[in-house]
Amino acid sequence: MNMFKTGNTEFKVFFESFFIPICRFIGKYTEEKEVVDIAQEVFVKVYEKWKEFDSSENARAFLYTSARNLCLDFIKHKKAESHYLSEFARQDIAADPVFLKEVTRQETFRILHAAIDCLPPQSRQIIQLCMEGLSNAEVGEKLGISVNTVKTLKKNAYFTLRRLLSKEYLVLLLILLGDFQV
Amino acid sequence: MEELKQRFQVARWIAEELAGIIRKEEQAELEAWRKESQANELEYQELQQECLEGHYVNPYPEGEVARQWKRFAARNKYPRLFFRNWYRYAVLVVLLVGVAGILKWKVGVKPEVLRPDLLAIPIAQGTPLLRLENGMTMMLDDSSVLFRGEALPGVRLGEGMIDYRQTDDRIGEEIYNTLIIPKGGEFRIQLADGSQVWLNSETELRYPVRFSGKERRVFLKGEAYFEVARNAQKPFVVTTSGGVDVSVLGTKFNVTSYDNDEQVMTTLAEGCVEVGNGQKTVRLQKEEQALFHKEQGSFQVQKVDVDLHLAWKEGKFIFEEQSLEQIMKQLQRWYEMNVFYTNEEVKHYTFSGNLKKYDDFDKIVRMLEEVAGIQISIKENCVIIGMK
Repeated sequence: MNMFKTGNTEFKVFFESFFIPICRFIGKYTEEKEVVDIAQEVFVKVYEKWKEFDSSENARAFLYTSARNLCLDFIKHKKAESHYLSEFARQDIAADPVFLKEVTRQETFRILHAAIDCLPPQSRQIIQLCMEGLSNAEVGEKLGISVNTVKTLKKNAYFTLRRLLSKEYLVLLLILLGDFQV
Repeated sequence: MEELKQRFQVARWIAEELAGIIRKEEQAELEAWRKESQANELEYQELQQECLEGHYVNPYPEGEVARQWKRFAARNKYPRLFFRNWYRYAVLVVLLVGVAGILKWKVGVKPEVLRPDLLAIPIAQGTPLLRLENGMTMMLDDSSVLFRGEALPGVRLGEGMIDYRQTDDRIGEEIYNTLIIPKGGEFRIQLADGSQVWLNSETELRYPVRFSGKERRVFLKGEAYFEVARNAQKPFVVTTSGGVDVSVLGTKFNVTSYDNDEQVMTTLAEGCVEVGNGQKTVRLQKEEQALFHKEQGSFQVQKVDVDLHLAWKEGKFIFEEQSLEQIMKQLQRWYEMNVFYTNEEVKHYTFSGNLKKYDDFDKIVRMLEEVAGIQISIKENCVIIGMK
C-alpha cells in the first residue's frame, strides 16, 4: 500500500506531524522569535519537492536537512553572532554530530508523543507511570485502581501501541492526526 | 544520508523501548548501536532521561499547528503558479508577511468566535449492556461489581473490555450471551476460543459462552472487527443481520451490517474468508472487500484500503470520497443528533477527511461549512443542512 501519494492531503498530514518537531529542531540553532518563520520556509522547500519523494524516509531526510541549511543560512546573514556556528556550517552533515543528535532526539519525541497521545487518558497515565519505573502495584495505588485493572489496561495499551508503531510512519500519522482534510 | 536514515531507525527503537514494546531483535540492534561508541551510549542515556522527564510533550499551545497550517496554505494556495514565478513572488511574500506581522502586532489577535448553538450536540454516552441467556440484562460500567468478583465463572470485566476464558472443554449445550453497544459506545471482547472482537457503536453481538459445537458461530448486527484465533477443525462463522454469513478458519476482518445501511460490507485485513447468502458465495483475498446489496441480493468484490475501514477501532473516522449523507449517518452513531436536509442535492456532495471521535462537534461543522459551501444550523439536537 502506498500512502505516499502526491496529493495535498498527505502533505497536510506531514506538515501537521512535523511542524512542532521542526520548530524544536530549529530552536537548537537560533532564537525563539524566528523559529516559526524558518519552519514555514522549511515546509515551502519540502512542498516544492513533495512529488519527488518516494518514501517517508526520504521526505524526512530532506526535511531535517533543509531545516539545518536554512538555519545556517539565516545565522550567516545575521552576521554570524557566534563564530562556532559559522565554522559548523562548513562541515558536511555526516560529520556534524549536533545535527544527527538533534534529529534523533526530535524523531524519538515525535514518535513517542504521537503514540502515547492517542491512548485513552487512563491508559496513557499508566504507561507514563510505568515508563518512570513504577511497579503495577504502585501505579494502582497512585491512581486508586486495582492491580488487575492496571494489568489489563497495560496489556490493552501495549496492544494498541504495538499496532500503531508497527505500521509505516505515514500510515501511523494519517490515523493519529484527527484533522479534517479536503 | 545513510547515517541520517540510521538515526531514524534508532529514534524509533528508543521510542519503542520506552513505551515497553520493543521486540528482542530490535533491542539487540539498539544495544549494538549503543556499544558502537561512547558518544552513542551517552546520547542514548541523555535521550532516555529527557523522555522520562516528559520532554516529548509539545511545548506549544494547542491550536498552534492549525494556525501555522492556515498560514502556510494561504501563502501557497496556487502552488504551480507560485513556484513558476518563485523569484518574483518571493519578494512580495516577504513584504506581505512583514506587513501582516506588523498589522497583527498592532491590532492584536482577534479571539475566535464561539458558536453557542453548536455546543448542543454532545458525544453520545451509552453504557454497554450484557444480556444473559436467561434474559437478565446488566450494565457493563464500573458499578457492575457483581462481575468484578467473578460472579460469572470465567468471565472477566476490564475497562472497555470483557474476557471469556474457556473454563473447560466439556461438550454441552451452548449458552448464549449478547453484548449490546449503544450509540457512542465501543467495546472489546475476547471470546472463549481466544478470538478478539472490537465492537463499534450501535452494535449487537450474540455469542456462545463456550464453543462446544462443530463450528464457532456468532451473530452480528452493526459493525465489528474480528481477529479470529486459528482452529482448522472449527470454522468461525459470523451470521449478520443483513443476510450473509462470513466463514473463516482464522483471520482478521471487519464486518459492517447496520440495519439502516443498504449493504453489508466485509473487509478482509489478513487471511481468507468466504462470504455467502446461501445462494451465492464469494471468496475474499487480503485487502479485498465484499459488498452485499441487501435488496438485489448481489455481491460485488473490490480492492480497498483496509486501514480506512478499521480506523473506527482507534477512535478515528476516516472517509474517502463519501457522500455527505453517508458521513452524517456514521457520525450519528457517535453524536446525539437528528439530521435533516433542506436540499436534496447537498446529500450527494462528496468529501474526504479524517476526524477524531472525541472532537467537538462544532469543529466538524465549521470544517464542513468551510470546505463545502454548505450551511449547517442546529436547534437542540437537530442538525439542519442546506446550501449556503
